[in-house]
Amino acid sequence: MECKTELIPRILRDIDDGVLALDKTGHIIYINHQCQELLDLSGEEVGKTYAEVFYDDHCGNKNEDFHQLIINAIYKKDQTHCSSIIFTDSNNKQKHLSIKSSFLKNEETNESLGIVVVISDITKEEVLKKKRNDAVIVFSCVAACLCLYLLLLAMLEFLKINVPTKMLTQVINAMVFVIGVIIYRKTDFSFDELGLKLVKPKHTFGSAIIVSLGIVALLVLAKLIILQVSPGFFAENTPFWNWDIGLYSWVSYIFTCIIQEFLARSMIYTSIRKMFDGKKSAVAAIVLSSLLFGAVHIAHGFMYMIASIILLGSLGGLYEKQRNIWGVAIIHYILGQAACCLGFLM
Amino acid sequence: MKINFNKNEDILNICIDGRLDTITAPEFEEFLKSNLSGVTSVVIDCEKLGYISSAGLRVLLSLNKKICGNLTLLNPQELVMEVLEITGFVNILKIK
Repeated sequence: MECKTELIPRILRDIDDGVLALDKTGHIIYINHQCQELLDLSGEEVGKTYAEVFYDDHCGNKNEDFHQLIINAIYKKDQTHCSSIIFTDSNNKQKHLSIKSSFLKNEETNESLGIVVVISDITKEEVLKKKRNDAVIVFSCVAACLCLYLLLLAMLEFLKINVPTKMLTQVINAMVFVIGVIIYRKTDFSFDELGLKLVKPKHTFGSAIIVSLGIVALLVLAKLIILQVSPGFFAENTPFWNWDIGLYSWVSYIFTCIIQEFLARSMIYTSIRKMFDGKKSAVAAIVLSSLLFGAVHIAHGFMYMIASIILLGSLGGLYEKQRNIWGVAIIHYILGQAACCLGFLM
Repeated sequence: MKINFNKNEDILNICIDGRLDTITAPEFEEFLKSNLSGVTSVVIDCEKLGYISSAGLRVLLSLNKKICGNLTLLNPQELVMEVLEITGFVNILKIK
């Protein structure tokens, strides 16, 4: 018997859940440490009434769902009432809690004893669930838009309509804009999570310039080698480095790079990263986002698709490190323009 | 929910018939907004109040604060009384 008396307080003390017990006059007769932590209470609640503790000026009006579970237990005494609620503590911090409330009665005399409430913190699970849900929304939008784009290409081919690739690039940009609006309206992704917040600008831009110069040097070297091995590869009578690619290209390509990096990193990469667990999630996100980005460039031909996949894949590591699109967008821009100036791209 | 009321100088007498819940509490709040000017104490007859939710309690608490603790509830039904007891409202409101 003595052992039993010791056992119950020990269990209540050591379980992960918070436990709160009220007597029939509304006084708190038991509250464990976990419950005090979950509800951000001071630790001097025993003996006070429920209203004194939970209907104070700070958070009394914010937690109606919590109070309602207490009331439900009074109206339906023979049931355990379960619900997931958002609880706002006195510091205005919100927590997702799973609550179970039940009415206590003396089984022999049927006399009312009070109410017991068991509380679990499910904030992490709820946040994760929301993030994954957001990721699924974004990924589904990307997949749907990609399918529609492929369908459009198939239709144009079927109708034998020749549309310039520049125009098709604008179609992709418009699609990205639509998905961006959906993300803004339907998800809780922050600017930070989408890689739009510029963190450590000096480091971001510095790394981008260094990487860009390195890759441009490689492109120059590649052209020199190709000119030796296969002189007919490039168009005849064009300078080694042709600056004259047009003002429209110099300006519009800035927006194209930002939009495409937003598509590849902010949307595809971020959503895949959220959907996968474990150490390999970054690799999976880089590979999948590269492949999808390559698929978007189907209208530009096989070589362009391969170049897009390689570009996206190789810059994936840098994005993973910097976690913002601005550095990779600069590399994307410099590299794209350099490839045009050198005659790799038209 | 039906609200019957009469004003006797600065005392507002209200009779609530039905439920004071998430749906009807805003309606009751609106009623109070329109009829509380010049009132220093409120008496609510709860004999026909069959249910009170947390939203209803919030409105009562807010009303009690506005009239400096001069809210009185009359004849609450057994279950409503139990709600007022277990939530500790019997120590805040005057109940007869």
